[in-house]
Amino acid sequence: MHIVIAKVDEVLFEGEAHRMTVPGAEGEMTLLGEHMPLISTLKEGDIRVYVSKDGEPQTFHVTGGVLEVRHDGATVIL
Amino acid sequence: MKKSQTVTKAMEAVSAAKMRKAQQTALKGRAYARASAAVLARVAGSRDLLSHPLATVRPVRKALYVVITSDKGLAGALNSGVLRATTADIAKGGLGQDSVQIIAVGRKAQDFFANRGYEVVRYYPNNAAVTATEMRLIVDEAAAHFIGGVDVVKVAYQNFVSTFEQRPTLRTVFPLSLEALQQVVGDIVPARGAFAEQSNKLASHQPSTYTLEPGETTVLTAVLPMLAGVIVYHALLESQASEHSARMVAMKGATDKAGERQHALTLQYNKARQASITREVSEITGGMEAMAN
Repeated sequence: MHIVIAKVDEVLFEGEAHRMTVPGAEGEMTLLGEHMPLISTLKEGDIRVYVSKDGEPQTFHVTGGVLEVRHDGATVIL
Repeated sequence: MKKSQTVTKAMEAVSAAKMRKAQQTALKGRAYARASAAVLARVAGSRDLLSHPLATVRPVRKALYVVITSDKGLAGALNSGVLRATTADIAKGGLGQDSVQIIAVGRKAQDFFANRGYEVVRYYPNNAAVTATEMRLIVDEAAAHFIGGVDVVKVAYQNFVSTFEQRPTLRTVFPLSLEALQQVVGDIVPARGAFAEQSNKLASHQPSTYTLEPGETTVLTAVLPMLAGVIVYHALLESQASEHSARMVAMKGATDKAGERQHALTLQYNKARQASITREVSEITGGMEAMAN
């Protein structure tokens, strides 16, 4: 799925990834492809993006933000 | 003369480089603007949005203008355009001077409105690259004013259309509306030139139903200030890109003028030199003839 993590002045991550874990308002959640459409606020915590299935994640610390999930990808705005 | 030409030429080159940088920064923010617009598009129809404190439409009795100009001159009609557009909009709204407040970004805006007796509630210099921190400060202050009694918050800036064309633009920040944000997203891509792109499709193949977590109100409270931020941030970027390109064009004009002057002055100098040589020669021949006699 296609993932964009962006601040207003900077794109932190943009590209294809296998899955992503985010600190959602109602608890940590892991997104794989074909997730149901969702808009959620984020709590303070770490976003982990797994580019490949077994690889190490790229981690981004966030203090808040909004997550938008579509069938084909997800966008996080901080 | 040759010196001032060198100076204007250097300023032209510096402005060109700064302009490209400002344009690139603007394009980097596009993903953010698109995503936030998509989020707002999803919640735009909801009753909670219309009754949210930052999106409530009220009859306008007090207005706050965020006016963005440059600190320095030497940029053609750039600042006067923005200032004229703002005063025209104030007049159109039929508001008296005492029901208008100004947040001035850039010394030209500060001077203009302070001299005319408007209440300038805050002044930010506009001399360095735009930062997200400065944008946040402006948005937070504007939001506080909007909740505290101002009925509309508008931002006035010079929109960057292309290197040779900038347009004074006013956008409504609060009350927040989807239309305003979509216009801003549309503005991010310049009409022509290297950074132009075909019309961007906003929220085209978006799903129609999202689950909202934890709830609509919480999501709105988080998203609305971000969206206002997008509008203000791009206003700041656009006005910087406009400032640099306007100065580049103005300096190019000055460089060309300096070239013309130099040519004219060289002619004048040569004529004066010839005249003095002719005079000296005639004096010498006069003296020689006097001695021969």
